[in-house]
Amino acid sequence: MVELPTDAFRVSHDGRRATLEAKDVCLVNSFQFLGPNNVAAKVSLKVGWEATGPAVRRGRGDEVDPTDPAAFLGRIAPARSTGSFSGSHVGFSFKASGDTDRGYALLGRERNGAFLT
Amino acid sequence: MGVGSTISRRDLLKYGTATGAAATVGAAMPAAHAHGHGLPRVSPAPKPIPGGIQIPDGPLIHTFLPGPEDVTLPFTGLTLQGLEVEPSVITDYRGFTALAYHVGTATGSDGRRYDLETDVRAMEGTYVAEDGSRKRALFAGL
Repeated sequence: MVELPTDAFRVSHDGRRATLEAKDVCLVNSFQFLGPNNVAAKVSLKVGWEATGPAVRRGRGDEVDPTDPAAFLGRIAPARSTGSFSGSHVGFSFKASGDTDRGYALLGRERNGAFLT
Repeated sequence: MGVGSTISRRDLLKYGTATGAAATVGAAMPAAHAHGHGLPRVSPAPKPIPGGIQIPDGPLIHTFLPGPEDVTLPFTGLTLQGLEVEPSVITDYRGFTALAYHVGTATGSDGRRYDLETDVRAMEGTYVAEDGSRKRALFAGL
């Protein structure tokens, strides 16, 4: 998880399209394999979302325990997304592209935690 | 984001990782851990959602996998958890969230082709930080 400049994420006025674009984002991938490992990586990406259905109310807010998966309220739409990616780490680089035809995508407004009350 | 066997969430989950694509925030993630567009970001750290996926004999990964329960991602084998499932990985948050699990291919600098599977999340809005301050920022899980 990284913080990016807010202008890296653009959402259309109607909330049905969005793009995320960032260049040379520095990441540290941490994982456990024969002990702790931290691998520096740099990633660039351009991802677009377009809603494919109506935004629907989702979540149960504070009706459920805060640890419950439904402990949020939102209006979420299913979407199709495409992405192009490039990156490098420890002497290896790649270029990639993909879409969500065999995955899934969504977008919408939501709130949780202190913003449920 | 996972490319082949080098950076895959399946491996991360399999080996009990503490971090991964959009997997953790908070204590495991300094807010200014990374930067984009050449500009360091220094907002106070957000807090992870209280719930998440419990790795057997391992850590709690503060993320869920929203999406239809009949969708299983092809390379990690992860099955999505339903539509009434939190897409954000940060709590005390109000904003616009987008999430995508991409499936595709990658070409490495070694000339080989790899499977690609992503979990890309963007969360832009207002949050209450670990230090109690209320901030506005964009966080992305890549």
